[in-house]
Amino acid sequence: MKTTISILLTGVLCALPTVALAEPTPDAEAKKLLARFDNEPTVNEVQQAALTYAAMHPEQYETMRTRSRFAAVLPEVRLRVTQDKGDDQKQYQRYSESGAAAEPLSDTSTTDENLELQGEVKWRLNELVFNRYETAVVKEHRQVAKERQRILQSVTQVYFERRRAQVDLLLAPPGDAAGRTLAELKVAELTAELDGMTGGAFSRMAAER
Amino acid sequence: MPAALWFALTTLLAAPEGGVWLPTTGHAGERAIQAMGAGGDAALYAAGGGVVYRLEPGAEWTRIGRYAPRLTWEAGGEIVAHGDLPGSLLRQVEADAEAGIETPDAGDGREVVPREVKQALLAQFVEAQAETPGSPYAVAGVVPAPQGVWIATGAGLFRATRDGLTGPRQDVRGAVHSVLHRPTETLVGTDTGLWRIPAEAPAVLLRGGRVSALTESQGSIYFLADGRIFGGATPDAAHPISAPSPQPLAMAADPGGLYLATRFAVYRRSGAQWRLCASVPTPPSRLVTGEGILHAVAADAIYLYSESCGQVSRVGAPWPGGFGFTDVARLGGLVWASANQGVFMLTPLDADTSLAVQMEGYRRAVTGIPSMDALVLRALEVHRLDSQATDVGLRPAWAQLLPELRAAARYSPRRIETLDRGTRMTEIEVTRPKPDWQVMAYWRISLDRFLGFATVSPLDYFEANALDLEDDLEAEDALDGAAIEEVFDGTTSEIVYDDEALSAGEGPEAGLLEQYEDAAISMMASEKKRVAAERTKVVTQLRRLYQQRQNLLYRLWVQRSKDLLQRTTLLLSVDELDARLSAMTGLNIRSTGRSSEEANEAK
Repeated sequence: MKTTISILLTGVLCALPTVALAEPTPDAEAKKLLARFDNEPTVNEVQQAALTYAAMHPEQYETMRTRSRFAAVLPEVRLRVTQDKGDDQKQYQRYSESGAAAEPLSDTSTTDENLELQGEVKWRLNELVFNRYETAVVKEHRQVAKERQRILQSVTQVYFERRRAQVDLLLAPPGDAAGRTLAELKVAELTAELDGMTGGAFSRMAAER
Repeated sequence: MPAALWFALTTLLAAPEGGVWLPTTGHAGERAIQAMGAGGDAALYAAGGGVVYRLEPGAEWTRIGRYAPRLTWEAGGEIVAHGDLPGSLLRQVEADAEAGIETPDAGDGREVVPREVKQALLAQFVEAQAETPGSPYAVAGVVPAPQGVWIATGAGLFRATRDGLTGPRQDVRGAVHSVLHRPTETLVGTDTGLWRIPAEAPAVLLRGGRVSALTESQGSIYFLADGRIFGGATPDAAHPISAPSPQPLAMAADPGGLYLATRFAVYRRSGAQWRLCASVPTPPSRLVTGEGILHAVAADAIYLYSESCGQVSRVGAPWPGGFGFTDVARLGGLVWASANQGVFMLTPLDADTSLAVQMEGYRRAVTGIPSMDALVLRALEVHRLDSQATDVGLRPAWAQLLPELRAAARYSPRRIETLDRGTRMTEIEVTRPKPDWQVMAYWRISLDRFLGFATVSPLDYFEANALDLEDDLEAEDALDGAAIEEVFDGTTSEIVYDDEALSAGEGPEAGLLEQYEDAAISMMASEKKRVAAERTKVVTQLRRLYQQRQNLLYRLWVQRSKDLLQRTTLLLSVDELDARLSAMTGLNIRSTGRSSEEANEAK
C-alpha cells in the first residue's frame, strides 16, 4: 500500500514539474525549535510563581508611607479606671520657727472608695506631615525589593539554564547513552530546582497546559 | 493522508529568494499592522492597533483616524476607552479589557500595578485582541474603494479616505470579514451574513451565515459561507461549487482565475477545474492578487507566485526576532507588506541594501526598549533607591510646627476638707464625681533641623529603626502621672505632680538621650552610604546587561550565523537578558516579541 502511494505521489510530482517550494530560514527553524517549549510556562509566569511562593510583594509598601501619615488623623486614646481601696491617713503638723514640733494641725483618716475615671486623646499633628516610622518603612521596603530581585534573578538564571540544556539535548545530543542520561538528569535537576523555587508551580503549570 | 504526504514531499523542493524588505518611515513604519491595501486614490492604507494610517506616494505614513479605542488605565484602577467612536463600542472594549486583563495584587487583595506594567498589560491586551477574530481591534482586510478604502474590522465596516475615517456603518451588523467593492454596489461578508450596500442607500441583508471571504473573477462572484464556496453571476444567484479541500483558509481571484488556500496547498480554479499551485511550508493566512500576481501571506514570509502559479518565490522576514507578516498589497508596480513591526517595501536584493536593512533592524531592536537612562531611573525606583523613596526633604522639619494636641478628662469625686478651729478637727466632704477637662497643645521645635545634617530627629530615627525608646522617654508624656514624681504640697492633701518634669530634659535620662542621638546620627550616615553603594551597584549591573544585550542583538541581527544551535542559543540569551532587565526594571521588555502602538507610545 505504501509503495503504491509513493509511486502515485512520484507520478504526481513528475506531472507537475513547475511546482516549487521555498525552504524556511535558520531563523524560522530556530523559532520553530523554541516553539516546542510553548507548552511550558513562560519565564514571566515562573517569576511570578516564585514571588508568590516567597510571598514577596514589595508593592504593599507602596502606600504604607502615605498611610502612616494618614494614620495620624486618628488619635491615640488612653483610658484609666482607678479605685482606691486602701485607707487614707494623713497627719499634718505645724512646726515653730525654733524647730520644735507643735501640736498636730489635723489628723485625717478616710476609708471611702475613691473611684476615678480618666480619659485622654492625643493627636500628633506633626505626623500628618512626617511620620517618624517612614524611615523604617523605606528601609524595610528596600530590603524586600532587594530580596525580590535576588529571587527573580535566581529563577531567571535557572529557567534559561534549563532551556539551554533542553536545546542542547535536541540539537547536539550526546552520542552515548551515559552522556544522554547525564544530560537528561541535568534537565530534571533544573526542573526540580524551579519547582523548589516555585513550590511546585512550575510542574503544575506545565501539566495544566 | 495524501495531503500530508504531499506536503512532506514538496518541502524537498526549493525556490529562489525574491528580494529584501525595505522598512518604511512614518507612523505605520514601526507599528504593528494587521492589514493594508491600496486605495482608489492611489495611496496606501494600513490599519493596526486601533489606528488607520495613510501613505501618499513620496510621502511618509500619517495617522488618519481610529477604528478602535485607545485605552488608558485610570488612577482609580478602571480601564477607560477613548476615541471618536460609538459609546456602545467604547463600553464593550472597556468590559473586554476589564475581563481580559489580569492584574497582579500585592498579596493582600489590593491591586497594585506600576505605571509601566499597566502600559504593557494594555499593549498585550490590544495585541491579543488584534488576533482574535470578531474583536474591535481585529482587521480582516483593507479593500480598495473609490477615493480610499473599506476597512473590515471586528467592530464593523469603516471607510477611509484622504479626509479621514468614518464608521462603523450602523446598517451592517456583525464583525466584518470581507468586502468586495463593485461599480454599483459593495458586498460585505460578516458574522451575520452577506450584505449589499447599494450606492447612497442603506445595506440590505442578502443571506445569512458567516461569510468569511468575498471575491470576483471573470464576471462571477465567489464567497466562502460557513466553510463552503459559493459562486454565481450575482450574490443572489450564487450556488455551492465543489472545493478541493473541506477546510479552505483564504480565497482570492483575479481575471485569470479563482485561488483557494488550504492548510496544505494552494489551488487555482480555471474553468470548472481546480489545479494545484506551488505549495508553501506554512499555511497562508491570506491570499492577495494584484497586477496579475498571486501573493500568499504566511507569518514567516510572503510568497509570490508566477502567472501560472506553478512557481513561487519566497521573501522572508527582513530580520529575526518575533517578526510576523500580516498582509501584502501592490501599488505602482511595487510590493508592500505589513507586519507586526511595520510596513515594508520589496526591493531587489543587493548587498548594500541588505546590510542597510539589517542595520535598520538592529537599530530598531536596540531602540525597541526604553533608553538606558530611563531604565536606570526605573530600576532605582523598583529597588527603592530613587530620591523619592529615600529623601524625605524638609518634611520632618516643617512637621515640628504642628503641635501635639491632647485632651484629657478626669471623672472623679472631690474631697473638701474644712478645718474646725474650735475642735481642731477636719471635716471631709466627698462630693459627687464630676468631669474635669484639660486641653493642651504641645510644641517641640528644634530649629537646627531646618539647617542641620539630619532633618529627621535622631531620636525619632533611632526609635523607628533600632529601639523602642518609649519606656525610656515616658517622662515626655506630661499627663502620664505614673512617670512623674509626686511632690509634697502643704496646702492640700491632693497628690501633686512635679511640673518641671514636663520639660523632660534635665533629668538623669539626658545623658542617655545624648548617647542615643549620637548613635542615631551615626546610623543615618551609614544608611546614606549604604544606599549610595547599592545605587551604584544597580546602575553598574544594568549597564552591563544593556551592553550585553546590544552585543547579542548585533550578532543576531547583523552577523547572522547560519548555525542553528548558535542562533537558537543567541535567541535564548536575548530572551534571558530581556527577562533579567524586566525583573530589574519592572517593565515588560521583549526584544524578540511584537511591538504595538501602545508599547511604542510608552517608550
